[in-house]
Amino acid sequence: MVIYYIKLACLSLWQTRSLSILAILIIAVGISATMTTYTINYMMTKDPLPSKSDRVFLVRLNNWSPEAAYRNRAQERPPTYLSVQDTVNLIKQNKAQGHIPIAGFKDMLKLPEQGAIDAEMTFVRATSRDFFSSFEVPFLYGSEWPQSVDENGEQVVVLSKKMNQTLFAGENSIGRSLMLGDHQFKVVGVLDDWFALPRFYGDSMRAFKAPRDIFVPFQTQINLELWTSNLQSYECWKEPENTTVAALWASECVWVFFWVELSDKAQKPEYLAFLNAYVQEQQALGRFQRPIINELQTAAEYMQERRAYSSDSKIAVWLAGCFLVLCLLNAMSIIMTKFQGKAAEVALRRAVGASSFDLVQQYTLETSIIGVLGGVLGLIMTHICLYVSSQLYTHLSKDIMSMSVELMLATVILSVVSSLLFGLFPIIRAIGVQPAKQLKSL
Amino acid sequence: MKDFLPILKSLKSNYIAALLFITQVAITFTILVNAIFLALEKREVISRPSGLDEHNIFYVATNLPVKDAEKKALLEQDLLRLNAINGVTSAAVSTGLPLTGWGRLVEVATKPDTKYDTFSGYYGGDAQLVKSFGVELIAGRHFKKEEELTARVDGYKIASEAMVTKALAKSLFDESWEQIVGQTLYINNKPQRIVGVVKTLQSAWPSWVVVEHGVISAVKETDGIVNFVIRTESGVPTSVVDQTLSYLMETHGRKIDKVEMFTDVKARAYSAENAASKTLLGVIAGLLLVTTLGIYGQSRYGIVKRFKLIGIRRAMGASKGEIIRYFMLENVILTCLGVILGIISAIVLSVAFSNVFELGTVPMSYMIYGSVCTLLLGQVAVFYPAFRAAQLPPAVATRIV
Repeated sequence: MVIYYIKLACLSLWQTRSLSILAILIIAVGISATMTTYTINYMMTKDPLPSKSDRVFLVRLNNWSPEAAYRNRAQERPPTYLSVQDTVNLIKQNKAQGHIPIAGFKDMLKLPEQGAIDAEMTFVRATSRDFFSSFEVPFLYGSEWPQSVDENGEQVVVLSKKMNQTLFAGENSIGRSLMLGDHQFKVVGVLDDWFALPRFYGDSMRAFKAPRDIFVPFQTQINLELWTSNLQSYECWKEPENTTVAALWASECVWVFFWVELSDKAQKPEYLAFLNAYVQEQQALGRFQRPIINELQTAAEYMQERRAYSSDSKIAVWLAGCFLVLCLLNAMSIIMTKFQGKAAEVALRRAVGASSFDLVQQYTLETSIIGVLGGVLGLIMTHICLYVSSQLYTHLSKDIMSMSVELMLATVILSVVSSLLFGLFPIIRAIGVQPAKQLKSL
Repeated sequence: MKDFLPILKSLKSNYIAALLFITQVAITFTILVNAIFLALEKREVISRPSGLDEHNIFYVATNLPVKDAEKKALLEQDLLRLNAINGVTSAAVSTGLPLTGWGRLVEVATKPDTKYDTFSGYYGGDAQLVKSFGVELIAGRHFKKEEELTARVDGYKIASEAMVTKALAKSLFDESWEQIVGQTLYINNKPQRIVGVVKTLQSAWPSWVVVEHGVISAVKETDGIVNFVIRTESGVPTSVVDQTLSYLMETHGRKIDKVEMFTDVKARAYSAENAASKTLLGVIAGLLLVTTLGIYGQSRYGIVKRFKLIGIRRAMGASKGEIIRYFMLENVILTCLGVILGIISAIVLSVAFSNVFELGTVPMSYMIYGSVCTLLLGQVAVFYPAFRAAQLPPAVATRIV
């Protein structure tokens, strides 16, 4: 019976092909507008670490001038980053499962055999081995550096897949060397494809850019005194003793983002108590002369506070949603027109014994075929729109403009459900004809 | 107008189709007005002047690869040599450039030892910086060469003179902003005499609330990376860029951190706004297309259904013009109802947006223009079906079911 209905539906679609194609097109346009904006918004605002969102925290200590609150805010909040000495101290105390300092510098990168002219200015991320395990970064070759490297600050690097492609033509480069400025570094690991979206762990202004391509141990940056003044924001309430980098390291200037991974949610109060105790200890030494308002902030809270999420994408979703409703209303009136022309057929079928339920079934099938075709076409158009967006939105990482399988499935389902919903009314109208009256006029 | 009552009666008998039509017009109107408003708002942000002579400026970020004690001398030599390059109008050193996303900010107060009155962007450079930026002086005077100082970092701490932007002067002195010349301001609690006011100079962050606030002081900084701001005569010829770089690379240990045209800096700074406004324009185009198709389809449907009626009216002596007029008037009535509903929902949506996303509300003039456009759109879409209907011979029309 179903096969017979499908045959009938196809026949009917073919008979009214121009109207059917119009309905399919209009549904597809609406679906693709909605799904494109929704995909972008979804990728931008999704939880970057779903499995650990409640146990990975940004550490904020209230290290600021005794005279004024940080940024003179009415409601005092601690800075979002720490000084080098506090970062080093907290890592040494080793109270959390993972300690992830986020620092970095810029330097000229080249292979040892290349000349100075081939060197490229490269952004380097300085962090710890816990970065890779806590943020679930996949490795292609090798692994993160061992614990001892973090403690001693040895000259090793982890490369991204892209950087490994550029430098070593994509081959297993473990054990090879490269030069960063005047220092030689040994490759210990190469990452697999990794998209951190949004890239929550650093400067919120760059949350939708790709991660950096080269990682070195934080302690190595400290030991080698590598510092780039115009790379990250840094704030000082007290001048460093003198102009050397060593003095900057020892100063109260704050610039290192410091994340911790705790073993579970329950450890949060415990770790906060530890931080407060640490600050009290430091107060005894004459530092931290402000109220203790330390904070442990989740990635989502941090992004929210820094307004990393632009409202544009949300507005676009709203507008596209309205647009979809409009398209569906349009499709509804087209389907109504289609069925109107079939009043005689309906009357004939009713007269020879078809129940109204039979007819509902048949027309529902026809509408769902329109929905499925609209959804599939919409999916194709969504991909085209996303491609165009990735060319247009140069300030966003290309990885935002990609759809997961769930989203693709959702697209088709949205199309079918909404066209069924909006097609129901025309169907009910269509089967409501009076058989006798219609037949008479034939 | 004698058609008015029959139209209302026929709408009443077919109220579902009419309601569908009105809803569509209302939704179209709502999206149209809000999308155009948002798109134009973005355009306005993009077209704000930075204050610089945008098309004739590029900058080079580089280091001074000598010992701290020799940096001042090297910087001065660099400036002399860069100014001497053929085609360079003016070259200067600066702590930063507008819209680059990386810069300094200072607290500004009119009285000592009080909390700040406002924030401002900060640029420090040599006496020629204002000229190299191409910023227009509107009150007071330029820096004099002898006022120029050199610091390692944080030049505002040793400066004694400063220039401010008009926006900053206005925020402190309202309409009597010109009086700021000669006054003393406290920049990060350090007293500085204001010698001049420039028209516009944006700060480093385009989305900052006080992006138009700027303080300039004549203090060169030598630490880390310095920015050479180079202004040329018309456009930036590649030969000037090449000569600049080849001169800079003569010094051993020089690292070129960045070379960028200012037009590229600006395009990058506003890429989000630009993309958003283009997307909105795409939405508007799609919207108009779908709505026109929709109105066309519905009018056609409504007319086909009433072929018999048209035939009878024609047979009774109605002219073709009267038939066309009937359907056009029907369209006007429906569109007007849709627009009224649309104005209400557009206001609701706009207020909701402005509450949630901190945007301005759509001004009334948009509603008026939007209504006129929607009405025209409806008339255009209905004309062809109405025209076709009028061409129908009465004899044929009365026979059709």
